[in-house]
Amino acid sequence: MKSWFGKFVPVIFLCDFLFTTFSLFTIFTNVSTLQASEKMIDHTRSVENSLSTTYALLVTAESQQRAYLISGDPVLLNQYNASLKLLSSQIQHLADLTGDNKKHQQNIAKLRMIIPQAIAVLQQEIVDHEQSGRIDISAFSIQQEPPLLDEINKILLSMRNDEEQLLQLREDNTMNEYGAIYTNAGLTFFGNMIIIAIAFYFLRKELQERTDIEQSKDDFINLASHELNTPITSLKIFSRVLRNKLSSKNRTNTKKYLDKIDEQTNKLTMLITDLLDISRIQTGKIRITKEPFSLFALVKETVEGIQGTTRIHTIITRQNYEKDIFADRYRIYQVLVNLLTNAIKYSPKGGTIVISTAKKQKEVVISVTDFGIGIDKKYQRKIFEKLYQVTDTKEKTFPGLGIGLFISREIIARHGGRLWVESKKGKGSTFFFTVPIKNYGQKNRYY
Amino acid sequence: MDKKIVIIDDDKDILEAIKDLLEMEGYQVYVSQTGENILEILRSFRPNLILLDLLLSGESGISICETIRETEDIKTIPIIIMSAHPYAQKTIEGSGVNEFLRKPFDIEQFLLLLQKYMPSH
Repeated sequence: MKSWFGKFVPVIFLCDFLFTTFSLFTIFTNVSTLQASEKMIDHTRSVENSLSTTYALLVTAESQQRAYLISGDPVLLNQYNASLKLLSSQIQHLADLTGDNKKHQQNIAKLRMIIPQAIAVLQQEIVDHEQSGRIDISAFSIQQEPPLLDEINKILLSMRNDEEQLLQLREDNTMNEYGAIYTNAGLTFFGNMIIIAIAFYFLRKELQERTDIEQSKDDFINLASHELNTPITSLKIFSRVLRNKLSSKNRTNTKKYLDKIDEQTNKLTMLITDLLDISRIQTGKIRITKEPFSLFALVKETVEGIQGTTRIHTIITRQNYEKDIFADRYRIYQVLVNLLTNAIKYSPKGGTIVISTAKKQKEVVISVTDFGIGIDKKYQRKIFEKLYQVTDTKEKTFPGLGIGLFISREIIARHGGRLWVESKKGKGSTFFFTVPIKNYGQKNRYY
Repeated sequence: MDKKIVIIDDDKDILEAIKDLLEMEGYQVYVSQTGENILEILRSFRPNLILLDLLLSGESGISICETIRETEDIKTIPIIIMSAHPYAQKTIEGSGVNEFLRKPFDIEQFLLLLQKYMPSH
């Protein structure tokens, strides 16, 4: 898998950032609403205070008037007038406080009609008293308790009730606001935790993948060292033996040693070429130059060369396609060599190997069949991976770097073809690949 | 006196190469690609030295070495472990191995090393 894990994580963090910013924004909004609510509650208390004060002033004024009528003390008259002034300014204050409340304004309008009437009654009593010089105590009987006062009382009570209801409403709102803030904060916290957990999950996976990749690189390097060192060691020893033979003038088997040296050198060359190819594929620099050439001739040549490397196998060709193909000749040669040497390697007891070619629509299909150990179904995909080697039932591994199929597949893919296998464990394997026949309108190009 | 060596390595080209070289140098060489039956072979052949590759197909040179070291009459035979792996030397410490030989090796030094374990004339 490619490292799209790594690409996911920035996206996750971006989402987290947006989510948190949005949450904080809503929290701030909630806090301002809360502050507004608190202010409204304060306001309600002010209104209630004002209502109380209004009533108190009215009662005080009345008491002062009565006290004056009884005692005749002019100080009391002054106090009475002062109370009336305060009363009028208090009513104004009340009106100002409740300017936005229609119901209250209506009630205040009523008060502004009735209160002057009540005051007028009080004033009239004072005037009567000043004129007649007498106090008519019966004028103070309870029945005369102005129903106006009751009326005023009722209005004030009604306003108080309204205000209480508003208070309740506002207090509920405030509670809701608090609730909203806590919920928001909680969600933000948990949301963040979840997002961070997800991010960590992806990062861990990525880390694991990278560790695995590093591990397989290490494994590969170890394997490569081992594989390369082995033919080199043989080369050195055979050269030494040959030198001894030549210097001791014992010429028996000298040819054998020269052949051995040659063989080892070839092995080495192929290993090195594979290694170079693999590093080129990794950096994307593998070069394909296509041209038309005879597949027939190439197969024939390749088979002749490979047949010479084994005495226990017979390679049979069944070429049903005799024209040209449009591909990179050397690369197709590499693929053929890879498949044929694999066929030999994985039928260690010898036998027949069949290579055939056939035209299929606009492609040529080439197949290489061996009757050797076969490949278990569960490995049929893995064998195309970079470092894989087939093992047989006795768990013996076969020498080589295991990168031939990986490169072959890459080469065929670059030609726009496919490389695949059909195999049954114990029965043998057939590897197929396709190459295009013609160059569809494109000249020699680097691919 | 006889100079006898047993060599175990899974690469048959290496086995053949070393065998030919040592036979030219007057050694009696027994080769094997696996550690199978190694104890019987050692008892009957009685070599002066064992050359053992670290990584054989499916078995570990170290475990063969440990088995030899635990078997009464053959545990004193010196063992040299060979390996092509760059970091193999660290893994063999404490397993009863006498020497570690890195592949590819210098032939002269190789012959001198073997001579060290041979009975002196």
